[in-house]
Amino acid sequence: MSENRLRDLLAVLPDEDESAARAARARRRALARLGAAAQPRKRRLWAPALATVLMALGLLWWREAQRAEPDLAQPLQQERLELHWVLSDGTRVQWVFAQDFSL
Amino acid sequence: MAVATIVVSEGALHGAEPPLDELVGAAQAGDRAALEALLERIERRVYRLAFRLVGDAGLAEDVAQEALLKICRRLSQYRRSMNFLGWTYRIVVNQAHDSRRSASRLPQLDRGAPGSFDPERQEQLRRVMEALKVLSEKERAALVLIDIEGLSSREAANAMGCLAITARTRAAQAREKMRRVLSRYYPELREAT
Repeated sequence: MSENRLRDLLAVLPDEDESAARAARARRRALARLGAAAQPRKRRLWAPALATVLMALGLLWWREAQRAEPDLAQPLQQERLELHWVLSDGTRVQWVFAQDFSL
Repeated sequence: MAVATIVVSEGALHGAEPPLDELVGAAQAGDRAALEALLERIERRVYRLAFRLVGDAGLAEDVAQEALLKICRRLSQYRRSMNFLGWTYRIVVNQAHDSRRSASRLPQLDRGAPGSFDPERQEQLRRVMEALKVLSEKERAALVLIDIEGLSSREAANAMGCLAITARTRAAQAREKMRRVLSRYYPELREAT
């Protein structure tokens, strides 16, 4: 009999409504965390794809810029380029580039 | 006057719940609705066990949350040859052990105690929780699993990661300690068993 009494005592729980509410909240939070943990995984898949696309676009832009460079360099062919340097010891250096960029 | 009685089972009215194994299988196959239904089915059991192991409503909620999350994440590791509830209990027992170790707070029964709760029952619960403190963590787990949750000593041993005889011995020791402490309030417990 005392065995059963002990079992009855041990079986007592807090209010059933409170327990149910806490249990449901624990489940909702666990599921929310499970969903949140899955999100970065999706992002991790998208990140390399996005980086590849950006790199490809960058490469295209760079190639276009390279192709356009001779046009930009065109006016330089009409002029000469002079560089004037004054070194710390007072030495003056003057470089003059001709049309064909020889010194 | 003849009276016709039609008995309609609750399951027939509300749609019978699918067996637990069916839910587990569907959840393992990636069915999100089945996973949610599975958690809903076991959440109270998980919380109740957590509460009895840690003795604090707030901490038990945290334990239940972590345990349910682990159940979701490890569901692919579960094999049909295992007992699903036994497997679940093992996760809860381990989580309660980890949480008790990391929680700086000690179990406090008054945390979250509802005002509408019958004062006599509340007092009874307070005494039981106080008495449970005299038990070691392993004794407490054995007592809760065998005497309260009704697991066999083998199932309890599986959940605790020990031999069945060890689980049985721990439960018996725990029962004796509880009887000694609680007999101060409940003299009927002094009776020989």
